[in-house]
Amino acid sequence: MSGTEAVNTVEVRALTVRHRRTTALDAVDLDFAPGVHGLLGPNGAGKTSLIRVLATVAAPSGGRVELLGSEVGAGSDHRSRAAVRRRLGYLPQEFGYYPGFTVREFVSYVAWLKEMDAAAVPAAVERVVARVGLADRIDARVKTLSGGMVRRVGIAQAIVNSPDLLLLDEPTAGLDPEQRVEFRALIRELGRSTTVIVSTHLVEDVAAACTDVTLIEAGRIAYRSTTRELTELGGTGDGGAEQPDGNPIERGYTAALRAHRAGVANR
Amino acid sequence: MTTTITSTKAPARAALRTELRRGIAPWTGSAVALTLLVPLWSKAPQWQGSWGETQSQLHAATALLSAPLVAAAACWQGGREHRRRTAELLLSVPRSRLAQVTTAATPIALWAAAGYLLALGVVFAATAPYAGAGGPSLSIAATDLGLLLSIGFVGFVVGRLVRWRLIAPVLAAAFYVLLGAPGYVESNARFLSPGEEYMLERSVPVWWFAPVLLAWTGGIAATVLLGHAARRRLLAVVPLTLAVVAGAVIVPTGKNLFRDDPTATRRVCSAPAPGTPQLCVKASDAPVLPSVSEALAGMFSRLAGVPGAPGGYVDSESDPGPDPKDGEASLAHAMRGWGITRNELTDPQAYASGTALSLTSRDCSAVSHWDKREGAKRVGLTDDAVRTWLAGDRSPWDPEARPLVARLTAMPDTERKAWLGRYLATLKSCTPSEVPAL
Repeated sequence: MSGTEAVNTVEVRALTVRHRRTTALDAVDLDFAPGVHGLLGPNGAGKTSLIRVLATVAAPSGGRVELLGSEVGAGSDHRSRAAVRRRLGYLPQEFGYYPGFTVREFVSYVAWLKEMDAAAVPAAVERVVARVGLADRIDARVKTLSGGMVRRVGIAQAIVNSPDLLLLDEPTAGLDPEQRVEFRALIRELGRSTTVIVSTHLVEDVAAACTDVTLIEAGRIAYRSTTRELTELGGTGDGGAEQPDGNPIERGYTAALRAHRAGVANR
Repeated sequence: MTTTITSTKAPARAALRTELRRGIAPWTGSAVALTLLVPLWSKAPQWQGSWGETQSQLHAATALLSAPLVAAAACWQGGREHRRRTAELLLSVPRSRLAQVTTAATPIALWAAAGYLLALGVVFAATAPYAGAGGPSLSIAATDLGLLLSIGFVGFVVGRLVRWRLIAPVLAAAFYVLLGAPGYVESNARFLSPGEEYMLERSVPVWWFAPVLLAWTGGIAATVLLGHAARRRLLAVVPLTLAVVAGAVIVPTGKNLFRDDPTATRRVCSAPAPGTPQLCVKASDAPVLPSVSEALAGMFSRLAGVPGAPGGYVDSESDPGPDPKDGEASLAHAMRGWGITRNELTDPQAYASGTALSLTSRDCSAVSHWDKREGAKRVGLTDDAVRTWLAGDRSPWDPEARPLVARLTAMPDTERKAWLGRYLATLKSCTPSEVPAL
């Protein structure tokens, strides 16, 4: 979990999200402070619904959401939402882009959408494009890039405004192993001063990059701990070496889910 | 983390510049220019030399071809957020939806306007060297431009709202019908359509035509834009009110949105010369005079010295044209594209024949059974023979008139002049016995 001394940048209380008859999130309480936080859970658990509410893209059906000190839930003030959005970085699960734009043009365009100071944009764009390893392709059209490179463009646009809250939904999808390693290093670095929330179904991403982990299942928080504690729950005999039934954090993930399911069944 | 951003709203120039260079916007400009220039080029003889006809043709092509095209292009651009799945990202940013929509839609509208202005420049340059009196109407150009800009924004909003891949061509077809159909309606409401066909060959818009039409089309576009994208959607009531007021002015005014073009009725005549009749045409057709004079030179020489021969010829058949006065005859009717190309008669002999026909036409339609009256056939053959001889045609229309033509040709000059004098004096007569025989 994040340190208790740190100021929470995300505070969620009794957050409920419903899609027609389905409850995607059911009265969830969560706090996040600066650091890298992993959101784990099976498909359909509610991870993306949570990320979308935190990205101010979806309105919650109920509950309270406070981001960076401002209320952004249903009925919140337009100005406070805009103020939060200026300090937000978001990489959606389905990252859309304009294929005819160059990398520089696309990231600059997003910088404009984020109402960045015009004078700061060119340098910020070059910096983040270099940071995701695309400096040599900065003037290439996005449509000419590989899937992994496009994903890195997505990360570049998310961090171009040096966000205080960075929301990444399945950020490593499409990245090759080497790029994943580089990406994990990047978000660890960002997490020193930024609240980074990474939604993923890849347990190894969480193990390598996150300081703490939140397991979500069926719209509820199933488990919260530091990554180390989750790893320990899976048994650390070999420091995370591959075993036939998965590495320790994968075993920890499975054990935590089973315990949650057992608890739900006993209620 | 150290935040390097400020919350100031950055100018949209860079984003707009990118949008102007990428996507289908530049292609839209080229397509608009082509959809205007290709059909106009194919009909160039019909409009080159006449400002009114040039703008009528350009206006029709703009409304029926370019406007639906721009609607489709803008609709496609508006639908890109669905196709490219960028809608999610756009929802998470602070930039207002109105700014996003305006920035993404403006390039289509601007490129469409650029394509139109290019075509306008080309056709004006093509017509100017052959043009007579009058000049281009900036009101029509402004309203056509306003139509394309407005449709650019409306099409974009439709594309944003409707998630259907075929919506762009369907919208284009809808606009084609919407802009073309009012031409078949008699009601004054047809003037609400920016595609209404204007008779610019003989009329010009009143000075407030452009502001009112722009308030109508622009008001609708702004209503759609604000209704879709403004945070305070009630603001859309302002342009809607403006559009309604403009519409309320347009409908009752109807045809009075135009006034007669003074250059269409003002006469311009050839310089008087001894022994040569004066030629008078509409001021806008003045550059055609030398060609007309050349075509009729033979006829005038044949009529020289004939008592009662017309002292002048006027272009009375064009609509509207100056009416012939006493002692004047009508010129044959020739229209641009049909008889006149770039101020030159395409068939001078046919023109001379037509003018001779105007001179020798005998209007006896009021006389009952004129054709069956005794002597009527002889009069008809005589008229045909005179027309043939005056025009210098090879043969009359009716073969039976050939001997009469031969007799007229063979007459001594003095005798022929005297006979023609008697003949011309009876041109208004429907009494066969009064018409001298050949």
